[in-house]
Amino acid sequence: MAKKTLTKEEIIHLSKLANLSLTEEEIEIYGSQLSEILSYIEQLEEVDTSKVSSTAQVTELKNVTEEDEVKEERSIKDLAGLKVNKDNYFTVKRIR
Amino acid sequence: MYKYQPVIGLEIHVELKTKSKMFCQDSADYFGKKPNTHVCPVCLGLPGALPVPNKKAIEWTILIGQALNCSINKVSKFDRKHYFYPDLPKGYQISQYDEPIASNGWLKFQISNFKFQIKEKKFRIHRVHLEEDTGKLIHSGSDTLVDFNRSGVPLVEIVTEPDFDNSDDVKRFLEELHTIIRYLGVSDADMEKGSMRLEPNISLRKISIQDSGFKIQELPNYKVEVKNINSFNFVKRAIEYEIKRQTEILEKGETPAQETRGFDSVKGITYSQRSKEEAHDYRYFPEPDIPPLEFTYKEIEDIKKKLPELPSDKEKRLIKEYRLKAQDAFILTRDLRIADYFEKVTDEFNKLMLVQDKASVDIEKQQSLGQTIANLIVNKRLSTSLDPEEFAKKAITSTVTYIADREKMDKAVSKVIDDFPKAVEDYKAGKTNSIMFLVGQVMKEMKGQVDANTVKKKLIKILK
Repeated sequence: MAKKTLTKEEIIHLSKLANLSLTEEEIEIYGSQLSEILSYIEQLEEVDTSKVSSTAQVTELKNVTEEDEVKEERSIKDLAGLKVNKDNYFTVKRIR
Repeated sequence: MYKYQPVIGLEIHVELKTKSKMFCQDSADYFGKKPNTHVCPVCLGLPGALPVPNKKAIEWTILIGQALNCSINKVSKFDRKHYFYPDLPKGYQISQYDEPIASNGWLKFQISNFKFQIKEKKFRIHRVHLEEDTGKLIHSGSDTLVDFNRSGVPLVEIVTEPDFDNSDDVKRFLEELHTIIRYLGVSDADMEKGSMRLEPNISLRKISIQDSGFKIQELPNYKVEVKNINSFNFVKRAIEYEIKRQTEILEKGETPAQETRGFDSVKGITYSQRSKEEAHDYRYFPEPDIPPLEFTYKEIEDIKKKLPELPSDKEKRLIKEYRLKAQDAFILTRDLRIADYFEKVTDEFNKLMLVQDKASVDIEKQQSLGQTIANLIVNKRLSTSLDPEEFAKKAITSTVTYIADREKMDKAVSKVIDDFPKAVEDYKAGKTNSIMFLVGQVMKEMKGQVDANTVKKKLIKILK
């Protein structure tokens, strides 16, 4: 089984995409863990899929839709306890 | 010798006016509502929430695709597009990646050039897909405020091929598209409220013309996108600014940076927005929570039957059926309400005329009845807020003279000529203004029940 090892650059790139700030030590730990996970998944490549057509889902469902109706009872009425200001806006640190 | 030719493509976002959101049942009517009152676990992206697509939004996207002559894909699916930004609570937007609802369409319409020659032009549509709108951000002090009422409102993205080479065609295309969307009744397409947003992408292609006349075209190796413009004029100005800016860079032998820019409508310039640190890496993958969409031929055809007569078809029909001038047919068809109103008034007019003795009717001007009505509407001589029958009645009073009325008018004219010999003399002596005095007297004699222009013509004819 070929062992795929992710480079440090790849780990840093992935951590950025995942919005994680990792320490040097964590890059080391997560890097080797992620490589191991990838290698584990890679075992699937041993299965012969030449006669199987590709699919994006396995439920075999299709066209699951809702009618265009408002169901107010599903809306959240009270945002108390969440980070909202007096005007009911969520607030985050200014982004620009 | 060489020159630069603009290569322009467009991305247009249109918010659908469904009652509920794209993947949940909160009200999609967010404009002016208290922040974060139309939110639920689905559009807030809370763990475990399950998105279910809105059937009407899917149908309307198919309808837009059909209006733009696209092929509707029998199989379609949703994908997750990942990026981090506070307007996106889930960390990804549900969109469509490689299987959009509609693709490969076109839109064509008449366009007049600077010499006012009319030409039909055709622009290709690359794809039409369905996604969800994001939340609204307000930057305030050290905070960014987020309102998720808009988050999850159905949003259709229309992408054209890079078929444009000038800003006038772009503006005309966008206006036509806007009119079509309004005809379909699937969106308010209100630019000011942001329910239609425009993003042109612009680059310049170098064309070298050799002595032999042979042209060598080089494809541009960069693309500049101008984001979120909310007016057709701003798009035109942004494109013109970019063409100038990019030409200057290219003439220095440099290549414009591949980037996203904003448009400053006050200064009339585009500016570099903080460029994303790296190339987009959205890591699209199929949305596992939403099973694929499959449409039968019959379903697609049934939706197609709902397509109304589109503006350019209506324009052609009005010209033919009512013998209208092209520019008036164009103006009338820009607003479906006005186009319908025009046809209703014309119909009412005809009905009213039927009850009159046809022989006694004399339309003053040498033009079609339709053109007469069109003039009244286009020149705003009568208000289109009138009931069509009311409009038709008024139209008749101002454009039609009946023989019975004419006899009365002839008598009044003779009487006024006899009663005011001084004014008649003045007119004959060249004081043409005195005709208006005589017209006034005739009007008075007839208690206003006559068209002043008709009286004036009659007087001039007699006194000549």
